[in-house]
Amino acid sequence: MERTLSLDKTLTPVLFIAYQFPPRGGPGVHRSVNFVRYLSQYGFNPIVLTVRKEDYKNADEQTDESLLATIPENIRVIRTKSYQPLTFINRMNQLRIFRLFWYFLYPIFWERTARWPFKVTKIAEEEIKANNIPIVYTSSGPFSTLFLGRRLKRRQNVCWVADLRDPFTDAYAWHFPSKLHWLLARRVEKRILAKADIIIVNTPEVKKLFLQRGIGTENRIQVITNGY
Amino acid sequence: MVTIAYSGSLDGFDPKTRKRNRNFLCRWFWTFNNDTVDASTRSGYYLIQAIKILRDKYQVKPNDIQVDWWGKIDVLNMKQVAEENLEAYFIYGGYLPKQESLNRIAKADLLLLPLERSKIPNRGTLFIPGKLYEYLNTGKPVLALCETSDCKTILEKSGLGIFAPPDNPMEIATVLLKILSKEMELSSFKANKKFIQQYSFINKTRELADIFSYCLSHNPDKSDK
Repeated sequence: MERTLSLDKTLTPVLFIAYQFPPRGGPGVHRSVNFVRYLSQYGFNPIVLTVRKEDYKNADEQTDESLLATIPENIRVIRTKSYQPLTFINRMNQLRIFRLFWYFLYPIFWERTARWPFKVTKIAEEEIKANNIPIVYTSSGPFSTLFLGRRLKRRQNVCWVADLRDPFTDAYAWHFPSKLHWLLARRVEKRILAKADIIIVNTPEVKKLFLQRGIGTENRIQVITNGY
Repeated sequence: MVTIAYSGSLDGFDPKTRKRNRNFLCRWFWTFNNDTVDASTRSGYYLIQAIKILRDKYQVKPNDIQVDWWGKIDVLNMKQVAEENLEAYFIYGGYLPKQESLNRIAKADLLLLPLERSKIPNRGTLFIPGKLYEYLNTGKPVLALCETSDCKTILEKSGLGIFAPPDNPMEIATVLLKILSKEMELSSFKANKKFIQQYSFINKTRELADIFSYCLSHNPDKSDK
């Protein structure tokens, strides 16, 4: 499902991957929607890859239809299925055995959105080829979008800019099946972020921490705070 | 009357259920989160305690002060308010669309910003809530319950910050009392507009565009795509 568009050929296209995008509401979308709104003023044309409207509702996520009006009409928005295994998770939760899957099959069930990057790779690749896109931007969380960024960089030889709206394993808000899983996630996080051309974080304190952890260098980690 | 507004997610806290120390097996093989902050300070707990002090010690009435909060407010906060018989001081609302939320913020006299305290020595919290920037844009004073952090630095430079420790109800009550008694005039807080302007999303997007341009200039083969 796509919006109509009229691309300005003088602008550099950017594949803007934001799983959380209007009509989803909540704090995670404002950064993406505002970047999309103003990027064309600075010579870039974002092509947004996100999730179908109805899938946010099916997943019981907050929605705010009024935010759709803030997206410029000429921006192309590609919407895909969310591929969240909601029925399976709900069933397993009812049987009180989801924890077993989470614990022993963590690479599959670590995030509800874990399948999305792999399912939409083909769509993203076709878009990159069709529009000669040189830059892929990923907005995380969900952190599974980092896998998509890394895949596209490797397979399509594009620049990958990874924007972390929040830190992942350093944040207190995320739960892991055990400390062992957390340590594993931490290693994977470091290895994936090492592949990004630029890592954007949203506070100077996170940059300091990432430098201490050896995740990137002074130049590769940039701070862009949120805004209004 | 002073209206204090808060918009967004607000955790709850009940000291009776504070986490117990877990044994070795639990720590390594059971649910884990990177416990680097005192999550109680990201709740309404201490503000509610402060309002209680104002009522009990200083006879502050509901028509002197109102706390209006909406969004994803944890039920523990509502429970605490009910247990302390403070319902008349609080107005609750659910999730509101962005514009409605901004309109409601615009009606407040003072904006509340509770911030988690870092448990890591010599390191502030990693987070700056997005609402801080919305608050700055209103030009209204912000009551920040926080310690040294990036967030505090921004508020200090903006000229709009009123600070109190995140977990000290008595000090929070003292600050509120100063506001109620006009010892601290809310109208005396003048926004540093030039400083705040840098946080507009138009300017933030320029920073992103600069990064894209930098990427392309350092990868000429990609810019030729």
